[in-house]
Amino acid sequence: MLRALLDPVVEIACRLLEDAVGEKEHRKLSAALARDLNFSPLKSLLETACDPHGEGLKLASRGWANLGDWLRVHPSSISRLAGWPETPWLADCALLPVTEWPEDLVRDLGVTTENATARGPDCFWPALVELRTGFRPLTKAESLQPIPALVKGGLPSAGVWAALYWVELVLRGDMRETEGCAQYYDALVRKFELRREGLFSDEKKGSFGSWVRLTQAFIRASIVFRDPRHLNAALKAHDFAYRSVVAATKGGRALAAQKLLYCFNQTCIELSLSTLERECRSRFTDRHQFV
Amino acid sequence: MNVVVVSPIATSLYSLLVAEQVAREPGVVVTGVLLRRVLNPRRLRKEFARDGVRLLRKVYQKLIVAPTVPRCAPPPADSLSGLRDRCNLRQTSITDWVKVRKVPLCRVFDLNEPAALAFLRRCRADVVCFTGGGLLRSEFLGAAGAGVLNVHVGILPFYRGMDVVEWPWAWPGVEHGQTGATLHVMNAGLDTGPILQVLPFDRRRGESFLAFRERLAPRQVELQLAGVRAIRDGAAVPPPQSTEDGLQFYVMHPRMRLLAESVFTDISLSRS
Repeated sequence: MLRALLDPVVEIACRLLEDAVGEKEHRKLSAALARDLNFSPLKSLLETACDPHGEGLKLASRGWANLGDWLRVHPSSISRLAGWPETPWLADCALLPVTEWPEDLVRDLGVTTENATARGPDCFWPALVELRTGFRPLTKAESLQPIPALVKGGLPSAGVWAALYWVELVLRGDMRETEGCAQYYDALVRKFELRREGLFSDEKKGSFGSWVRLTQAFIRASIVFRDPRHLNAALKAHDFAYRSVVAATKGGRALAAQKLLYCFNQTCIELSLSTLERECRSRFTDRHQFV
Repeated sequence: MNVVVVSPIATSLYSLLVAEQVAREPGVVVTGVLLRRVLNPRRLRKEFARDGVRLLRKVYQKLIVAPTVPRCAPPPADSLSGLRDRCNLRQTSITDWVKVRKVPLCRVFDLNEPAALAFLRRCRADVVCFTGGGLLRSEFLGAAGAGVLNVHVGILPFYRGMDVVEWPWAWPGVEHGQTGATLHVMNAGLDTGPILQVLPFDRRRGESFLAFRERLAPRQVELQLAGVRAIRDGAAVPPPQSTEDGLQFYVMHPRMRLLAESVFTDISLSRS
């Protein structure tokens, strides 16, 4: 009798709580994205571009460039995919050569005919996205600041840029995979797992930008160090990014680009998960015995 | 030899069986049971931060559902309930058990609070069997005689921390893809204490993590008993583990758990 009364009450309470913390909604969206992405051109493009030799996902090192490539080919698909409104400025820019981008953009990005030709248009995409989303671009000095010091107190939001850039240098092969980098990421994951929202020490804490960068840093670290614990942390940071973007959507403040970045991270995570599952499955089904 | 049993919750069948089996052991007396209070705001806050909504379901399952489920059929022999039947144990909670056995009971909000330490000293514990209840500080560990025995449901030293039944199945890079349990003496680190015994334990085809954990639970009781016997018989405690021998694992995200379970049960997500 008691059970008959309590079961539905507890179930309703759990659902309300899940909604309150965004878990259920997030799971629904993630599942929908995962389904859609199975057939999306973005997925196949990333898979082809990132895993040509079966060496595991290298998408993190080329992620932003791929985003640019993909947008150029499919400027509105990502909006359709997520059921979000079109992103005119991105679509416009994706269809035009860099040199024909709006004047203010060209000026702010430092685009010239020479460097656009020499470096190719893709190199401007990270800066473009950063510029339009309000994310401060990483400076060389920032990227080289002493990272272990960042782990001591709370992590300043700018520290995530440094973390992101450090792991990216390793991925690009511009820097050797150092013991220090691995230890830093171990410490970062530990701190994040223990403190979550308390990770960030400055006024940017809890901002979408902080979470989306942290997610990307963890995704990249999971590839560099082949450590699924970092991917696990990425999933959790991604949850926070989601909550932040939902809050911004409700308040009418969400930028299409924010949603796009969220979606991009989601794609990276889905690909990383499917690669991980493939690797785990091939390892265990062959070697592990059942009782 | 005096043994104190630490229990995380009154209805823990694991705690109950450890207390009973240890009490039946020749030359061993259970001199006290230290029970952590459930309605503890700090504990609830901390565990909610760790487990999220699944905590509510866990609490409901443990406190309301489990004690009231009618027994229609005999429980599986390789479960804790099966072990309880084999032991002819009638009590369903550690609080009932201490009344029958006339063993002192101490309820505390936190295992590290002064009342818990005072109780431990009053019981003159030669060894403590830890069956859950949170992190222990060095003061507690120092007052526990030969030490605090804990059975970690993972293979140490490699898999330390949380969800270590699940993590090996999402861990492709190294040759440690094993599940099982490890008896160790707790120290100030997390799962870094001296290892007394490692028990590898294999999955069954199609088995869920939940079913696997249920099958592993009686072996945890056996390991606790083996530890008590070893200390009673004067076995030397090995040196602590080296920090570099293992990794710290954290609570798995539901998506990662889904992946691990799909590998574990050998059912592809894409095929299901």
